[in-house]
Amino acid sequence: MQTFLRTFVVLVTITVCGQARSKDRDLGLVNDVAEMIEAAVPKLVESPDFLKPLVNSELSFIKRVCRPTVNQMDKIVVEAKTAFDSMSDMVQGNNQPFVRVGEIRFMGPNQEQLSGNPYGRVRRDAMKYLKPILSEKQFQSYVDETKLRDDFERGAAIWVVIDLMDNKLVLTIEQRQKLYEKLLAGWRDIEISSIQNYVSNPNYMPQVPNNLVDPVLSTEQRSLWNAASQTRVQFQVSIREDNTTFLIHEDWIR
Amino acid sequence: MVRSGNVLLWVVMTISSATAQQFQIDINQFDSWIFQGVGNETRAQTLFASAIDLEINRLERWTSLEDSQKERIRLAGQGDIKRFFDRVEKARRDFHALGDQLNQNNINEAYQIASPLSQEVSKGLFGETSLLRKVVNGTLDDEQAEKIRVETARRKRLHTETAIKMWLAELGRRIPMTGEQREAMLQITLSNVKSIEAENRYTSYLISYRLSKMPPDKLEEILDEAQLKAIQYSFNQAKQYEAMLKQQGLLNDE
Repeated sequence: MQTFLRTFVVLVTITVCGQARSKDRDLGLVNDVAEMIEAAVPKLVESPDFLKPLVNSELSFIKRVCRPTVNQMDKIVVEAKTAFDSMSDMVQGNNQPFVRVGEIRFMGPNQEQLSGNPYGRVRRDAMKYLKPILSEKQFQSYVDETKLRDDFERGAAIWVVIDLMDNKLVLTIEQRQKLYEKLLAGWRDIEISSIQNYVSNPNYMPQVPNNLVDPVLSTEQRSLWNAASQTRVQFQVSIREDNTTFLIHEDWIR
Repeated sequence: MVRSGNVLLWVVMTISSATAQQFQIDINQFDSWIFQGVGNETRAQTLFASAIDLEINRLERWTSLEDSQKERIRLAGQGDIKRFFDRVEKARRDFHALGDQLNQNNINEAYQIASPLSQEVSKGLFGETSLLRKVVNGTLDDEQAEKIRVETARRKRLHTETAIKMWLAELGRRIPMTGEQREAMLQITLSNVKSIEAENRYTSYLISYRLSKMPPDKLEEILDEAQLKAIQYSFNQAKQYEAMLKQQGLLNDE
């Protein structure tokens, strides 16, 4: 299908050009038509290599938590490769994707814009393709371990936010604990790779859901918090593909 | 680190823009370099003033203060703010002194004038060397000082735990591990890294450096061969930063 679409664009362009050769004045029109056709047919993008280590890293995780047989692992790698290929739909090229306030923008090493969180995508894909391959027990291990990992990652990021709030609001130990419980239960879209930016830029605060924070703070702390979190800032997360980023070298998908 | 990166990017963007506009960099742009962390000078003044109240609130949460002590602390904080704005005024004079000579070759010189002040804005004015801190240390009686010391140490420990959890959460994306391995790594790291400043740019190197000094068999009990090889790579990276860690005073207890 991809080849066909590419071929389609090329063929139509050549045909229109052939008819126009006798009429130079129409060349501009021909070019316009060609450009329109190019614009109308979606550009076909391959999944970029910088996303591959994310998939390989997840496969290394699967190997350790599910302990699949060699045969199972072979099937998993095939499915993971298919899932990786379809990740091209996340790549927006140089177009700026629409990003809501507070939403995290991910980018590739060459400023490729991504729609959505690629770590989340890789994990959701794995959840889908693993079920038919693994035994019930193995799959349950993946589900359980994924939840442990997600909770640990979110928990770590939430503690960073609580420390930042503590610096501004002077929280009690009880308030810290209450905030942790509330945020862990209710703040799903916090992401470790962006939250570290706020540690380095302590004058900005992440957008924390007010309904989770307000009941824990005193009136004075609430007004301080509102003032401190007034300035909204958007940090981008860059995905790199060098050895310093992905340390484990189990290249399931090469 | 991230802050510097952002600043650098901003400067690069400004330079590009300035090239196109024949370097119309004025005092407003220079000021925006200084106050970019908080928005503008007025907001900085408000934030600094409320930071004094915050420091007093923090101390009062841990020990009761007499009105005269609070007043001395407040005056010292105002002294820090005045000193800061005196430095801002001097920086502005230095910027004006560049005058017509400001061009694409020495724009970095202007940025170098603004940069230390911008860092002060981000870090806050009431660090260990501030007047406020000196007055706090000199004003409190022994009992008050002991209470503050205990609470400060407890708070520092909580922040160290956060930094370690964040480091481990990020490490887990590069060296995938099971929940059991993660928990064992957390415990071993908590017992080997006693104190760390979360906002220090070398935090992750310091943690890796500390762990690299452990007997290897401790980690061999937790991680498999591929994971060990991967973490060794991060230890080697951290060792390359040894001189920098010493220079930052992060290895003073060795």
